[in-house]
Amino acid sequence: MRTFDRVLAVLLAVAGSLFGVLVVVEVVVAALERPAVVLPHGPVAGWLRENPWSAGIVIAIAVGLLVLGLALLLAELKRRRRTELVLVSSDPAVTTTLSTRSLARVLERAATATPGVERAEARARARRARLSVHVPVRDPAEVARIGREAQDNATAALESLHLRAAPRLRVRTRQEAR
Amino acid sequence: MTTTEDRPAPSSPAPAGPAALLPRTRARGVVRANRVVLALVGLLMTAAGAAALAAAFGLFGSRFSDRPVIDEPVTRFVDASPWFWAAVAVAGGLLALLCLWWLLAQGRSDRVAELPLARDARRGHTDLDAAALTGAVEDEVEGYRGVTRARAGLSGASTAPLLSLTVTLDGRVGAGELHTRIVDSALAHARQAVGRPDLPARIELVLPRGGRRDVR
Repeated sequence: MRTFDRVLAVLLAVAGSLFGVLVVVEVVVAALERPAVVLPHGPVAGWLRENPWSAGIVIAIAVGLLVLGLALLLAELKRRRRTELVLVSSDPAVTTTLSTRSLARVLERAATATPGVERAEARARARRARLSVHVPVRDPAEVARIGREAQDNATAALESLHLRAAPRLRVRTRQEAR
Repeated sequence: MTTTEDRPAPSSPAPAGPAALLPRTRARGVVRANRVVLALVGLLMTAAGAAALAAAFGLFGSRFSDRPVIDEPVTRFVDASPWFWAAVAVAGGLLALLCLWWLLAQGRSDRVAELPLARDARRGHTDLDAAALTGAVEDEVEGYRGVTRARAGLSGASTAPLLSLTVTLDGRVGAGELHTRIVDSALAHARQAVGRPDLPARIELVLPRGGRRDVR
């Protein structure tokens, strides 16, 4: 979101600066009774004098403004998610973090290191992590055993990180018979 | 077949401090300013859109919706006010200045370029180029098994700097183990070099998708 904000800020700042300068230029040029330089204020004013508030195009522009404005407002007011999980450190002056994305990779690698697991997908947040383990075996009992082993490996990997507050791990084992 | 099992979070004594943080930034003020300005822009757009729709659907009077967006009273007011276009020009100039300030603010950061090592009126000053320190830290950490990349920086104030370190892992060595090694070796060396045994640090460990996979 920060990157999106930064890009949007640069675009809006450049557009706003140019527009502001052009407004000053156009006012001065119009005072000198010369034709417009860049901004077509004459045709725009004419169009606004011709179209009533109830015109379809005016309503469409209003709806567009409302939707875009609401989306931007809600996106900026939404609370930012804390995605950097803090590791326990013996040194109080050191803060070490691991992103939730990286934690998901840790869990996936631990699960795929289990013999019998074809692939694993994980999603992690500060309080909850979900791991999906795919096992290409027909025997249900064997699938359950491999699933438990993958879960044990993932839990061990999670514990080895020494997070200040480790998320609750939920493991789903999927049988994918070939 | 699908089976699901829940495993509670590993239990350990809860240490002091937050369990999760926002990603680090070198320009906290700019991030906040962007958020406030963009929220205001969103609010203005919402208000303008809602007002135009209210006008279109007759909330300001049933006959108002049939009036042109710029109607006669507005035109008469502009024609009767010689100061109007001067005010528009001033508003345009203010907008340009505000947007220019906003644009320049995007480049701001609290990066520290030099650290004062010694201050002596007779012998002179000794400063340490921050890049020399961060380069040495990066080289040391990149030499560890399990690390593919390390990027370091100093931020805050030159009298009270914070060492930031982003370490990209390849998964061969556990994150917990590398954390201990970085603190005990690379950070200890950096603290010794600048003569600040309490130099604070923020270390971000990153394990990207792909890269090396365990061989079974």
